[in-house]
Order: sequence, then structure tokens, then C-alpha cells
Amino acid sequence: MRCALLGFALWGMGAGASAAFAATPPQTNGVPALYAQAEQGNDAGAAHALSLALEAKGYPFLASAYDAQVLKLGPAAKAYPAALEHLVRLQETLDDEYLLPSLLAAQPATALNDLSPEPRARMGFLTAAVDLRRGALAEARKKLEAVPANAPFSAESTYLLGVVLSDPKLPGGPQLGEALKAFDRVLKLDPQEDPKFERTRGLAQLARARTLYAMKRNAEAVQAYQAIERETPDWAEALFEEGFARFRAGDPGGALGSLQALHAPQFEASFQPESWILKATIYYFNCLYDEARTSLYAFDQTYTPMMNALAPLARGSLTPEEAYAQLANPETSRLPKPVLNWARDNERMLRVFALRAELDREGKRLAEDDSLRGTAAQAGLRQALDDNRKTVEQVAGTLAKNRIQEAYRDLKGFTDQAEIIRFEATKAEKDLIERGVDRRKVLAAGHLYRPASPGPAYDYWRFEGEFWSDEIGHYRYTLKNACVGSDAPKKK
Amino acid sequence: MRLMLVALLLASAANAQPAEPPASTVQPPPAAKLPPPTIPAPPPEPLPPLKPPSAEQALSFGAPLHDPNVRVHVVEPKAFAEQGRFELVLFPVTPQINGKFTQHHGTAGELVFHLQERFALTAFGQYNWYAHESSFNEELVDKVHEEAQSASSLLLRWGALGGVEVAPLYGKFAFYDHLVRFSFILNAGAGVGSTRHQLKPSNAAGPASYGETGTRFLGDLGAGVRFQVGERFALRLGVRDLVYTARVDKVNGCSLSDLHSLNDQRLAGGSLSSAQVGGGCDVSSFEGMSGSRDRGDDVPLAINVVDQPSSDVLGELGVYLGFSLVL
Repeated sequence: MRCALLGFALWGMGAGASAAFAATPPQTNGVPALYAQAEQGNDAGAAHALSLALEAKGYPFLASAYDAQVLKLGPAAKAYPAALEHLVRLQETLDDEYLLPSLLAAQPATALNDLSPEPRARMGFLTAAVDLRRGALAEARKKLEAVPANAPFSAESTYLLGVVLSDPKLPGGPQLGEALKAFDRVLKLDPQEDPKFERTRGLAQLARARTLYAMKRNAEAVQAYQAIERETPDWAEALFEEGFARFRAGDPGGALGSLQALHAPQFEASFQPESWILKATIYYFNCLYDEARTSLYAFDQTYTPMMNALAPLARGSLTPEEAYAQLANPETSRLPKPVLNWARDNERMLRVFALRAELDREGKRLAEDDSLRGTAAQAGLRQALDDNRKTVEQVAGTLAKNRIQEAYRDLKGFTDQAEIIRFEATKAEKDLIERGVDRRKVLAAGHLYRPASPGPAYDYWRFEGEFWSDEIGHYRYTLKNACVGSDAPKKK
Repeated sequence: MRLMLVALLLASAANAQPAEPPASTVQPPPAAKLPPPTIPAPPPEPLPPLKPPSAEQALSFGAPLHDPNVRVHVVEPKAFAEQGRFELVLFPVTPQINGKFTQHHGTAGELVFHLQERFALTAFGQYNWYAHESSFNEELVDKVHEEAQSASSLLLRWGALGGVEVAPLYGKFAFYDHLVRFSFILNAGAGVGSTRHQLKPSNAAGPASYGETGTRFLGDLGAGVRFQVGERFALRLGVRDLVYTARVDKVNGCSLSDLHSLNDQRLAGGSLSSAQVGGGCDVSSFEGMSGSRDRGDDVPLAINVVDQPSSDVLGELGVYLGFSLVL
């Protein structure tokens, strides 16, 4: 059977005849024979044995393709439970968030009964992630709550539970308090050397801050955003969102300071259009209309050309393959660099890129594998990799296309918001003139002071245009407020 | 986060004129009345393109550096908080840089307790393992048979002071890929120091000889810079002036009359210990041999020192280069 040639697109489409399964130990030198046996018919046992052998030889992706073929035969196949367990393990090896979890999620619920406790729990966690993406939140919650606290992946599953509980679409409404407890549980876990665990902790910290913001506990949210480690993948996002939290907490200077960090040369190629809109809004709420317009001008200068460059890609009939090519090849990409970085740095994109890299690695290994040289297995496996590469690129391309369209939509939306702010600023200025208020005099009478120091263990520096790496994230603005009496716009 | 659009729209709505009622509730105007004689407003025109900001409003990497209405600051947590921490400082060599009639080189140590971030209490100690009259003073003696007044050439053997340290200014700089933080420090203290006077220089006749001139009040003023190197270490470079008052009226506890009695006894060929001296006079310091030289020969030299009582305020200005461990 040419299982792998069919590719992942066919996974889970149906079950075929069952086949006798013998618990074959990994035979790293028997790949050609197992391949020939597996090719002869619907021999689930041979396919699973081939999967084990391929994994042992360092081909986890190809291994997963053959176990996927076993799953296609359905639970009636004797090798089905073993293949399922093996796939759960391979998912962990490959760190694949899409293909294998989707395949596992397509299996009947009864399939879990034959699994040993740990793979069963892990499968529940993986399929919960799929449920979350599909919007089946109640189902996801049930599965995540069933994950034992001592599971090796409990940090990830607890974080995901928090995400589910804080989702506004959760039946009965979001449970922010419970979500916060879940994130706190992750943060209280003992630190580990594992980078994946640390990544989960980082995400939990960000999610905690967002939850506090959603609960309108703004001061705590600010603290939570500040607790996010510097120079981690979430840092820029945390700085931006901290700006919102500070603004809502009534600290416009702090909010502008948080946003200032995003305009440092170190973040030059980052995609932060909303930061300018928020800056303009903060100035508007302090009746500093010239400053608001300056921010909008900066937004316009930076992001309107980007929007124009994205328009033909986002509006046109960009195929997933073309979208993937735009992201995969930065040298030839037509995407503006900040958008390219933003799209490529997406967690999901990174994982798909990693999967694509794994396919390349296995292809190279296959070409250099002397034990398979000149055999039918080598040709067949190479063909399987080529076919699956197309599938992965298709997934990546779809994600890339979505990302490009999202960037364009965001820019369009922010451009509209910029127009509204501009209109409101002009209107407010006109009102002041009509009432005979001389805003210049009001501003001239105002004073600028140093910001309050949180304590003696803080250094103060006057910012004069130099961006020191250690200072990023510690900027504070002081600004005058030109609003007179009831002119101050009201925050809703 | 998209709440700002909503907020602005709401703010806009709040300021706007009352909206038209829904179409279903609009009553037709009475037929007898003409509509008001108003000219319909023209359709809204799109906003003109934004103008570049003025020089005052111009941004540098997003920062309004010249805007009189806005200022940007940095309020940064100190990389290494010091409050409540001890610092142990060692100055291996402290050369005197203002040696005129005297020359001192020593080793000093300091225990600093950072009571606050920029204010500390200090306990300072110094031992001068080299404390001699300067070659200039010795040259005066050799060539013109003159020498500095006794008080002006007093030597400081050791000192112990308690004091305070403040760091009113701080800064940082990049050194290759590392950020070095520094602070200017001022210190002051008070304590005691042990002094002596050189009676005879080291020459062919024997090594130098000294007479103890007592323990004196010692003051300390200093300024310097402290470079923080990581969390646990720091380098310090500065100058300190160890100030002490000097009035020489006794040598080895012996007053002028004691010394004359000792000298008379010495000239008479008697034992110095049988001379009539005050209780504080350490006769044994003039007895015995120092190498091949009789210590009794120091008695007339000591008389010269106290014969014309002198006083002075001396300052031993030294360079202090040291390293410290922050505990």
C-alpha cells in the first residue's frame, strides 16, 4: 500500500480492512523488507512495524505517516492502539501542533479506552487544542480538566485550560477568576531547564496580564505585564499591551513610555501600527492635538506605504503556495519587512516552519542513508516526503495567507481609526476656538516635572534620544494637559 | 485590543448634535408650513493630507525631544540594589601624593554598610607600612642643616575612622558589550591615628630611628568614583585626605624636662633608667642598641624635636585604588 503517498490530507477519511498485527520490535535494518511488506496490501501490522523502524532510524515524520495509515484502517485493526500511542509520542518528538493533533482528534472517542494512562491524557490535551481552535470550548475544557496534575505536560494543559476559561465565547461566559487561577498554577510550578516549559510560563504570564486587564484590574495588569521577561518573544507585545493597561489606569505618561519602547531602533522592523493609534488617542485625551496629529503623521508615513504594498497581495487571489513563498523566502518576498517579521514570528507559523525543516532534514538523511541506497524503499519514502512537503506547505500557505490578510485588515482598520481621531481633534480644537479658549496660553502655563520615582532603588535619566538597551521598557513621559474644565474627553 | 475605536466613537457621539429620530417615528411636517429656509449642508469633504510636524513636534524614533508639552524620561530599576548590603573594600597600596616633608605608603581597608541606595556608613582603617621623612627633608638636613618643624614632619603610622559616604551623582557607559555603572562618591569620617617622628634618618651609622608622638584625632575627607562590575564586585578610585592635628611636646611619652634628665644621665655615664622622669616617659625606648647604634643617642635628637614646641594641621593626601566585594 502506498500509504505515505496519499499524504496527510487523506488521514482519517475512513477505515479499511483490518489486518493482523504482530508486535514487531523496531528493525532498523529491515526497513526495505518492511516497506515491501507494507506496500503489498493493507497490512497494518507491517505499516506500524515500518513506522517503528523508521523512527528508530531517525525519520519521525515518515514514521508518523505510516502510523497514520494504520489509523486509516480504523480501530478494528489490531495495530490500531499501538499506532495511536506511537503517534502521540511522535507528535511530541515533532512538536507538531496541526497535522497529528488533527488526525488524533478525528479518531473515535472509544479509541482512547485502549490507551495507557499517559498517552490517553496527552491525546486529550492535544485534541483539546484542536477543539479550542474549532471553537468547541466546552469539549476542550472537559478534556483539559481531565489531565492529571502530575502529567509531564501539565504546564501546557493548565495554560490551555486558562485560555479556554478566559475565552468570551465559553458557554455561560468567560470565567476569568478561574482562568487567572490556572495561569497562576503554571507560574507557581518549579522552573525547569526545558525551553518549552519556559515558553509556556512566558505565555502564562502574558495571559495572566491579559486576564487582569479584562477584569479591569489595571494596576495589577501593569505589574503582570512588567513581569514578562525582557527580550523574550512576548516582550514587544507586553510593552504594547502595558500601554493600554496604563492608559486605562489613568497613567498617560506611563502608557506613552511603554509605547516609546516599541519605537526604539531595536524594534525597528517590528509591526506595531496600533502603538501610534494609541499614542494619538492618549494625546487626544489630554487635549494635545498637535501631538496627536504628529503621531498620526508618523503612523501614516510608516504604515500607509505598507498597506499599499500589501493591498495587491491581500485583495488578490493569492494562493496558499504563493503566500507560503512570500513568507518562506525573505530575500525575494514582496512583503514589507515588518509584516514579514510579524507573520513569520507567529507561533503557529514557526511550528509549521519547523515541521517543514524536519521534512528537509529527513529528505537529506534519506539521500545519504547507505542502508537504503538504491532500494524501492528509498524511492518510495522520498516520494512520501515530497508529497507530505506539499501538504505542510499548503497548511503553512493557508496560515501565511491569513496572516497577510490580517495585517492588511488591521492596517485598514487603524487607518480608519486614525481618521476618526484626526476628525475629533480638529473638532475639539474648533470648539475651543469658538469658546475663546487660547490653548497656547493654557499649555504655556503648564509645567513639566520629573515622573515620580517608585523608590530609591531606581535610577533616573533624562532621555535625550539615545536608546540604551537596558532602558527599553523603562521610559516615562510627562505631559501637559491642555484640557480646560469639562473639555476633557471622557474615556468609556 | 480595539477598545479605542469604540471609546472614540462614543466620545464623538456624546459631543454630536442630537441624532435624527428613527424613520418610523418621524411625523410628516404639517402641510401648511414651509420648510425652514436653510441651505442644505454640502457633503463632507475628505480630510486634507496630514502636514509634516513642525521642528518642535518632530519625532526622533518616536520620541518628542523638542516638544515643550511633553518630555521623555527613563526611570529604571537599578541593576543592583545596594540598600541594606555590606561592601568590603581593599586598597592594597595607598601612595601619598602630597608628600613634602613626609612620605607615606600604606594599605587600607573599608567596611561599607549601604544604609540607603546612595548613603552609606563606613568603617575605615589604614596602616602605613612606609612612613618616613621625605628625601626633600633629609636633603635639607644634610645640605643646609635645616629641617621642617617637628609638627610639620610628623608621621602617621595607622588610622581608624568611622564615617559616611554619599553618592550624589551616577552614570553609566558601554565598555565593549558591557554596561558599566559608576557613581561619584564623597566621604568623610573621624577617628584616631597613631603618630611618630623620625629622629634620625637611615644612614651609614644605622637604620632610621623614631620617637612615638602619640595618638591624635584624625579626620578624613575624600572623593572618588566607584565602578560596579557585576552584582558582587566594584572598583574604587579616589583621593582621601587624612587630616590630623600635630603638636609635638613629648617623644615616647617623655617631656622636655624628662628628656633633659635622660640626657644628663646619659652624659654622666649612668643608666637611663635611674633618671628622674615622669610616669608616662618610656625610658626603655631609649635604651639598648639598635644594630650597632646606641639608642641613647636618640635622646638629644628628641630634645631637638620638643625643644621648640610646634603645631600644625597635617593632611596626608593619598590615591586610593581598590576593589570591593559586595556582600
